[in-house]
Amino acid sequence: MSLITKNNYEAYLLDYVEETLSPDLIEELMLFFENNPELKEDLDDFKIHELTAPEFELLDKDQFKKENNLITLINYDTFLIAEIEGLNSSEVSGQLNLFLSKNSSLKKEFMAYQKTKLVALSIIFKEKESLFQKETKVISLYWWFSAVAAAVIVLFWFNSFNNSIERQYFPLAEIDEVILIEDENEDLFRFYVLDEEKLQTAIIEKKIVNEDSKQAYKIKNKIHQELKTNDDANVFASLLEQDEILDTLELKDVSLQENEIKIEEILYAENSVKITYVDEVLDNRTLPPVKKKMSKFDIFRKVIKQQVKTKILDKGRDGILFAENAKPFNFIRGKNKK
Amino acid sequence: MTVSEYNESVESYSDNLYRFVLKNIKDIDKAKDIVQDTFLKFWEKRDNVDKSKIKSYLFTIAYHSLIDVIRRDKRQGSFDDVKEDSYSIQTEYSDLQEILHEAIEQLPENQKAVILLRDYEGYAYDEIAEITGMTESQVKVYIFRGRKFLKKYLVSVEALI
Repeated sequence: MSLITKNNYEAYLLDYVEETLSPDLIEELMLFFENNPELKEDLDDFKIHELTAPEFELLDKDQFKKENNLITLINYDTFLIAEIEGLNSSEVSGQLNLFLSKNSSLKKEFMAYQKTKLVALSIIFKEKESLFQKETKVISLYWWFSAVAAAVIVLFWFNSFNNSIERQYFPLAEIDEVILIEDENEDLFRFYVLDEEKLQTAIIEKKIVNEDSKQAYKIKNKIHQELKTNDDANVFASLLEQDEILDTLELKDVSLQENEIKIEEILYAENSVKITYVDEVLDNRTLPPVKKKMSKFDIFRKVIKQQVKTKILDKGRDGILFAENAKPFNFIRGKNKK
Repeated sequence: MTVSEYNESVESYSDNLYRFVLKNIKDIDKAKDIVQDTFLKFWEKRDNVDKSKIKSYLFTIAYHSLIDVIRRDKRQGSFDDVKEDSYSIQTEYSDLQEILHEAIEQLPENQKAVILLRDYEGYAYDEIAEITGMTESQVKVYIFRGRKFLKKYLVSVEALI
């Protein structure tokens, strides 16, 4: 007896359509439809209603998988920016191009990123001139000497024609008087020129060695009279002690004459400015005894150097030209006083 | 450093420095002051500045000055209010650049500064980091964020057009 009847044939038919029916039952089902041709339409209907999958472009799932691709739809922004920033290696750039070729819609985004590069505006800073610094003229030693020589010649020539004309420059100091100070411990050679305006005097102090091994100081006669006493000398000394000592001189082999500042070595300056000068320190233990006689050039050079160092003189404001090896130029307005 | 070398630096970098400061601070007088102060500081420290790093030194000083000014005075005028012919000899640029400069004004200060240093002056990330005192990673992040914003701005404006 057949298993398939008019009451259950539909269940077998579904199994047949779904291809789960065994070959024996398929044969029996076909036999059933031959015996019942009025029901064969049901078989045809099922075939018609069979769904057909529509054709569509499948997404490339790999594009979302990070393990397979460096550049994905999640992180492509970073690589687009890196590309315009020039940070991608050639390998990464190649991958990016490949990625963009697969995702043509993203090319516009890449182009938009390329447009984010700013083109610099041309802006001029009109106050530029105010930023420039003026050059300070440096005069070589040769020219310095030449200038001084020329100035001395001109002054001599000028004085020979008109001695009555008042000098433009006044002496900072001159040596007129010798005061003996009994201080045998003093072994420094000092040279001071102090502010003439403030102290109403200018001083050149110089220790010399006399025959009695006593020390003498030559001090300008305009120095206050009270300085002639020891007590006042101490006051004066204490003033000087505040200054930095830059020089000592071995005196024992220096004669009075050698150590003397000659009368013609009078210092002149353009204006009355404070000058504190002490020569450089020399270590007698390591250096041979020094017989030192200060030339006017030495004095001026070091005076100016010290002044600038202590900010008494302003190079810019006072217009002093100061060469690398400390050669003053327009400060020097000296001439011999006879 | 000689006076001549200093003056060459003024000649070479003052315009760029002024442009950078002005674009950031949007105030001509303040921008001028910052440039003046920057070069004054440079003059005072000129002997301590590596000659190969003068430009970076100037931008570093200027950047920190303008950050101070911005923080001190949050009241900023609009760059649009500034008459272009008072500072620029090039007043015509493409529509795209106009939009882009408009977009730049919308960026946060740090993003704006790093993008200007990058695009205007062509500095590398490490140099920008040195100038701004940020880390290189921060610079990169700010540039990337800035670019994203600018791109988005451009796309939105183009869509409107």
